[in-house]
Amino acid sequence: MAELEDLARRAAGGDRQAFTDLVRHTTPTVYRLALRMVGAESEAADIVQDTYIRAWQSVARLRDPAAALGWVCRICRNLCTDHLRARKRRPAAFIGDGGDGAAFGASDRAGDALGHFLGQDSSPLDPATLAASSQASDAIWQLVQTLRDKYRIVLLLHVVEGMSNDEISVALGCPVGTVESRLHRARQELAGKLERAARRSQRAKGVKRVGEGVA
Amino acid sequence: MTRDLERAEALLRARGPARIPDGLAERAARAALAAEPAESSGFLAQLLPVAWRTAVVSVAAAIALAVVAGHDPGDESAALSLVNDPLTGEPVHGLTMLPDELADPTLGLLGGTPVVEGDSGSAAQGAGEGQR
Repeated sequence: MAELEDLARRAAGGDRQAFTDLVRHTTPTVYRLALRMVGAESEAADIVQDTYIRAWQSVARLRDPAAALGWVCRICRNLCTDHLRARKRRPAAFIGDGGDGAAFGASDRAGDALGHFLGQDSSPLDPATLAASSQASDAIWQLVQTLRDKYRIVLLLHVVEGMSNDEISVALGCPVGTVESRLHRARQELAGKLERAARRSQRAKGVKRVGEGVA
Repeated sequence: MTRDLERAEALLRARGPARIPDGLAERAARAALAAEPAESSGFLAQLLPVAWRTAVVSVAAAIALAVVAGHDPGDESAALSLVNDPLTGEPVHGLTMLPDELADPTLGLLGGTPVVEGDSGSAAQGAGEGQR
């Protein structure tokens, strides 16, 4: 962190090499934040580039070099928000718009895989089993996309990106307590969605069996 | 349900963190440095553009006011007469702190007669005539 502060201070004085090093140090966090906010890799990469263009143009006004990471993350968040707003105006199909049933509506096989996956009492969580559950993984991924933005982003940064609550707090510019409560709420909501998905799957299986019995 | 949530999170975790695209940081830094030079952090350097803009806007506003009122913007006495209320001929509030030389009644600033009597209505009259 002290190194980042030093780089930011030198960059503020116009040191181009220091700015380049600052970009190199902060890009992973900024990219992951952008990716989890906008969802698409190419869009996230574009936003990262725009973030640093803005950062270089205003680095001289950076008041607290110690908060350099939070500062670039704030620029990134603002750009992501603008981007999402612009995307809402465009008629684009985007994962996450389909509500709880999206995981099932999109693909029956994904729904079956998820139904099979849920409610199992003791299957081991070894990497091979998990890798084999790719369809269930896709279905869960789609369920996560239906969470509200503020919960989804925290959950993905924590669970998928492996960021600590402190790191997420810096990236999102909010207190650690807020990160914790959002993570808790995200898990509650996801648990509810999983439960509903499991019930829906059970009902679908029951209908199938009845149908088979009639045939 | 907790078990399902744990298993779901394990599946999500198994996807692994996003891979940073190769060369992204270098591209971003190059694009930033090529876009525009960083601004100077000097206090004066930040203040000057503001002062400059304020001065330009003030002068432009004064000239625009004079022109709109139908005065020759180069005529100082005519420009000064603008500070009188066109209806009452009284000075506009806030001008009582002007220096003595500007308080000369012949200039019509402090309760005196406006220099160009009736001039305040000339622009409106002209416009009316134009319409006619």
